[in-house]
Order: sequence, then structure tokens, then C-alpha cells
Amino acid sequence: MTDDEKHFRDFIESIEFDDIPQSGHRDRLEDDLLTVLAKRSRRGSTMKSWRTIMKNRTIRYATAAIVLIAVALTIYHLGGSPDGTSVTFAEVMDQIREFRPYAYTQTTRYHHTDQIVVRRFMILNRYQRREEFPDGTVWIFDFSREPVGMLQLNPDTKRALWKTYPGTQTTEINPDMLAILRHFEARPDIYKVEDRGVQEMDGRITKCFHVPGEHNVYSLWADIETKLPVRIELEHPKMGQTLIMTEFDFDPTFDKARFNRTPPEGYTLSEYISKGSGASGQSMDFRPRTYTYTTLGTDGSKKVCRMLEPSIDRCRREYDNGQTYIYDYSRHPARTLVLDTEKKQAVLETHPDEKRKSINIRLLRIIEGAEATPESYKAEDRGTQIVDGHTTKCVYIPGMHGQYLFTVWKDVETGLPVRIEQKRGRTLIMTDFEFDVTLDPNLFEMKAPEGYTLTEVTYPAKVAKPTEAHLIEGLRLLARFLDGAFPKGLEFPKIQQQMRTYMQEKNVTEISPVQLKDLRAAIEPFNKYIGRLRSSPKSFDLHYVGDGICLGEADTVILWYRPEGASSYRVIYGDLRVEDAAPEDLPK
Amino acid sequence: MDNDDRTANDGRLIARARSDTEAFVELYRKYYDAIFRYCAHRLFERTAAEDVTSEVFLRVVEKFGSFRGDEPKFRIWLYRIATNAVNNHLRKAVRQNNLLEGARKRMNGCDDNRGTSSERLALLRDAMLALKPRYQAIVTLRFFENLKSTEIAEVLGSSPGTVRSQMARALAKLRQRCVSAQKGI
Repeated sequence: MTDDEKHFRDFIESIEFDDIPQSGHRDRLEDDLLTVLAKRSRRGSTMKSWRTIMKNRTIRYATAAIVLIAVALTIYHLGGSPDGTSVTFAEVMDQIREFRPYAYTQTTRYHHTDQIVVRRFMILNRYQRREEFPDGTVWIFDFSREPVGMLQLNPDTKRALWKTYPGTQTTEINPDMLAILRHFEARPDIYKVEDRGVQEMDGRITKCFHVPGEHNVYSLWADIETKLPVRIELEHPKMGQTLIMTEFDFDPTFDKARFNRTPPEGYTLSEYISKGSGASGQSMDFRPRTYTYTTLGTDGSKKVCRMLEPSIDRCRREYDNGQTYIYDYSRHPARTLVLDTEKKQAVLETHPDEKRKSINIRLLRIIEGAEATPESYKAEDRGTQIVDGHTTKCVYIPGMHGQYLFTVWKDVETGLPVRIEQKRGRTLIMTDFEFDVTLDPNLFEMKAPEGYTLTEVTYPAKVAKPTEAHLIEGLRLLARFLDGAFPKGLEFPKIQQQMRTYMQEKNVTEISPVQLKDLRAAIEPFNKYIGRLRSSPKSFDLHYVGDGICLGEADTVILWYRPEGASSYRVIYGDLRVEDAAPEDLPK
Repeated sequence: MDNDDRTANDGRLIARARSDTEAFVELYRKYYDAIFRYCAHRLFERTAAEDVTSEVFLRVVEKFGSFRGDEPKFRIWLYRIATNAVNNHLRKAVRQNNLLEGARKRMNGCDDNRGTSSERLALLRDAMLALKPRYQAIVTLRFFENLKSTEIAEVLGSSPGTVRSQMARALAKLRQRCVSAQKGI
């Protein structure tokens, strides 16, 4: 410190400053900030310039007075209060354009089971929420700090379970259901908001809006006075469910204690650490096993496979048709050895693009998860049953959203599965389980057994971002495979069926490994590109009319679509040339 | 709580404040005093300091969405906004005259039972307000807010070396003015 600095410091220390903050101003400013924040969250970013002007106190008061006078005059001249017909969707969006704390009741109806799940959501912020179920169960999600997790409270048993997700960082878990509505504004080209007029809903006068989406239909009822949603319905046939959101409460005064990650007094707390989903996490507790995997098709077909799994990333699958597949995803590059035991042929496929990953079904993890948190998996105890000579406990695990639909028979002594069934159209049955078996390493060697002819193929790297060129190349390859004819449709199952029929008709008994590789390499990005175009029918407006047309027919259009954000269309002809066309020039 | 924990928590407070009003209010309460004091030491007048403090936090609300950084950065960002707000306030000559005049009146009207402290305050105020706003900011941030040269440099968008040399110049000017004033020059 220099002399000047020292003298200056001594000098100011001898002065009494009027610098003690006063709580009066601090509190008033806090109130002002809260008001601004509330307004901001309602009005959204379009109000930035307005707020800048309104920072001046004089202008703020003057403007408020003018607004009040204007409103009074408008009401006077209109001869009464608004009847709601003038409420616009944009006005409703103004209220929810930005995140604000809120609560609502959600009723979910699952179409395939007709099951109804009701719960009350309380959204404190983007990181924390509380869900209350009619049976008293409470789920509290706290992803605001690590370890992130979910606290389950069962008031009947006074038991609490704190479930953490190691490796998961602080993250937004409440992307906000209302965010979907905001999306409507962002893509007016896709979503056409229909004004359904004033309706009475849940005892309130509301304005109803109807928004047909890509795969679903939204209906929104907004209070004509507050412009806030009163009810939202989402019909989602693809997901097989209908969501109804009611009893909205915006900006409620939440008791923060209700979002605590520690249970209330009197609860017995246990902890459950969710196992990591990475290959390394699973391989740590993977138990070498064998079992029989039977697939019963809806057409009466039956396929049986013996599964040998020494680790999560390696397996040998022996099918009853004489084919054996040996997979090694434990190292890079991943490899697959396909053995045809009848023809004594072996094909070694190398996938330079595939890294180490888990390839075996996570049986025990699902069963363990259902045991630890039955509420999450909707697990149902189906009692004790005798199966294959074992006394078993039968548990049905549909999963919260019907994603598993497993029935597990567990040996009551060992706790290990004896039989697992999954019915989802076709039926999968897993039996003959053996755990902790010592498997002969030779069974997993990636080399052709003696007496086999070996073909080696290396697959090209996967295409991360397919382009129109991949679409054209796929069409060309398929047409060549089908003797010059373009496929009947672009849906892959249809294409597969057409290829199978063609092979039967032409008596093509097999495709060479190299041909297969070329086909797969071309079809994969082709499918991806088609999938992208089909994901948003209104946006891309894809049309395929190639059925019955042959490769080389230069005057015939086979396909057209509109690229993202473009106004003109891309039109593909039978000779696979591409031209741009205005909407009015498209084929009728 | 060790530094790592504190930094991590601070980072989370900033993150939470983006969507959680209560977290934002927590942040405001944490920094209100520091910003008010900085404004008070720059303006020597409570009402003006409170007005500018209000302006600072309203601007923070407005610009918070564009702020990217942790809490140490937030503190620097806050002082930068406050420095600009104070400078704007002072830049308007009418206001500055009012400020000086108002302060003088209060000084003349008081019964001066604080003796030399009041005189020294008047001396400091006149000397400080006669400096360039940039020099005022450097002196206030260093001696009242105890910021390091590196931090002041970040607030002012300058280098620590420049800050140090400008601080030396500012102190020399202050000394000169104070000596002159005491001698009645």
C-alpha cells in the first residue's frame, strides 16, 4: 500500500458516512421488483421496451392513470363489461408465456386399459415439483441440487423412500406442460388455433380454443376475465392416452416445506440409489446367465432361442432355425459372427461405428426396481404360484405407463426369476433360467468353427445426419433390388414385406453378406430421412406415389415434400432427378 | 462450509434465480446493502443513492436473462451496472449541481455537533465529485468496497495495471484538492 493509499484510508475512516441501508427502502424495492417480475412473467419478452419506459416513476404513474381512464371510457362506450368473445389466444398466451409457479390436477386416461390416474401437480420452479395422489402418496422431485432425487411419502405406513440418481446433474425437470401451448405460437404453419367461442366450463365463463396438432388434439378453455387456462385437454391417440388438466392455480403461495427432500417427522426413511444406466454400471452387477427365449407371434408362429449371456455386452443366441448369432460389444469395434449351422457358413460383421454398449435385456434391474419402488412400476402382487417345480411369487409389472407389461415368477427362496412373460401383441416367454453359470469362452469366440466358410464384411460408419441424397440412393437401391420397380410405400415394414414377397416369387433363396451389408448401409439413412419427413406431416407434407412406377421413368413424379422452412417443394421423378416446384405446380 | 461448497451453492442460487422468484429475491437481499453503500459513497446523498439502487436492481431484472456466469461474476456484473447508473446520474449537470447544492445546504444547516467528521465529509465529497467519474469509481470500489485491482478492472472493462495507475492519479488529485481546500485556496 502506498503512502497516498494509507493516508486516504485513514482519512475516510475518520468520516461518518450516511451509508446505513434502511429496511424501508429495501422492502419497498423488493415489492417493486416482485411486481416487475410478476408482470414480466405474464407479459413475456415483448414487454422489454415497455418496462424500460416504465422505470421512470412519474411516467409509470401517469401511464397507469391514462390506462385506468381509457379502460373506464371503453367500458362506458361499449355499454358494459366484456362478454368474452373478444378474448384471443394471444391474450391467453400472454399470461403463460413465461414460467410461473402453478398447480393443477391432472387426470390421465390410458386407452388400452381404460385406467385412470389422478394426481395433483405443484410446480414450485423448473427444478422442484410435488405430486399428490388420491391414496395419499406423495412424490417430491428435487433436481435443484445434487444428489438429485425423488422422495416418496406413504402416509399410511409412515414410510419414506429417498431415491437418488447418481451421475444425474442438476437439471430442469419441469419443462412445463404449458410449454406445449407456447409451441403453438412458434409454429403457426403447423398449428392452426381454432376459436370455438364462449363456453361455460367448470362453472366459469370461458373462451374455448381447439388446436389440432401433429399427432394429437389440444383443447383449451381460458377464463374470459383472467385469460388464464381453466381446463386443458390433450387427446393423444398415438400414446394411447388422454390428459385433462383442471383446477389450475397460478402463482400460489406454496409452503416451501412441502417440497423438502427430507420426510416429515414420524416417517421411517430408507434410501434407494438408482443404478446407473451406462454399460459399466450394469456390468458391475451383471450375473452370467442362460435362458430360453420364446416368441409367439399373433399369426401362430413360434421362434425359440437359447440365450447365453456371460456379460452385459456379450452374448450368443442360438435359434431353432439353425442360425447362431454371437455378439461382442465389449470392445471397439463391435463385431457380430453369424453362423449357419446347416450350410456351415460364417459371416463376421465388423461395425467400426459401434462402441462398447450393453446389449442384453436388463431383467434384474427392472425386477429390482419394481421391488424397491412398486408405486413407480405399478407392481401388483399376484400371489404364490407353482411354476416349473418352483414355488414362486408372481408379480405383474405393467410400468407406470404400460411400458413393461411383464409378469414375473420369482423363486421364493432365491428371489431369482423362474419365468417372465411379456404380452404386447406377440408374447415373449423367458424360461429355464440359470444364473451365475460358467460359460465356455470358446462359445463366444469371434472366429468361424472348423469346416465353415467365412465371409468378412465391414459396415460403413452410420450417417448422423441423413440428407436428400440418402433418400434418393435408398430409392435407387430398392428399385434395383425389386427388378426396377419402386417400393409400394415408404413404411419400412411394407418395404420388408415387399422384398420378402419378391424373393419368394423370384425364388431368391438368399442375399449375399456383401449385398446385405450394402442394403443395410443404404436403408438405414434412408429410413432415418423418411422418418424425419414423416414425423411432421403438416410441416413436410410428404407424398409418395411411386407404387407401380419403374426406375428411369423420367416424366413421372414419384415423391414430393416441402423442406423445413421452405415455401417451394422438392419433387423427385422416376429417373431420380429432383426439381423445385411451387405448391400450385404440384401433381394433383 | 468450504469454498467449493459455497461456490457451488452460489452457482445454484444464480441458476435457481432464473426461474424461481424466491431465489431471485434471496440474491437481491444478499447484494442490496453492498450496492446501496456503493451508491451512497459515490453520490453522498441518501435519496439519490436509494433511487440509483432501485434503478440498478430494476435493470438487473431486465437484463438477468442475458447474464451468463456464476456468483463472483454476478457481483462484478452488479457493480458494473451500478457504476454505469451512478455515472449516468452524475453526468447530468443539473442533477450534479442539485446534488452538490443540496449537500452543501444540509451541511450548512446542521448544528455541526459531529465537528471534523462533517467537515471532512464535505471536503471528501467536493474532492471526489470533482474527479472524473471513472476515477471516482476506482477509488470507491477500492477503498469502500474493498475490491481488488483485478476485480475493479473487470467492472470497468480495463486492465489491472491501468486501474492501479489511474488509482494513483486519482489519489494524487484528491490529496491536492484536499490540501488546497484546507488551505482555503
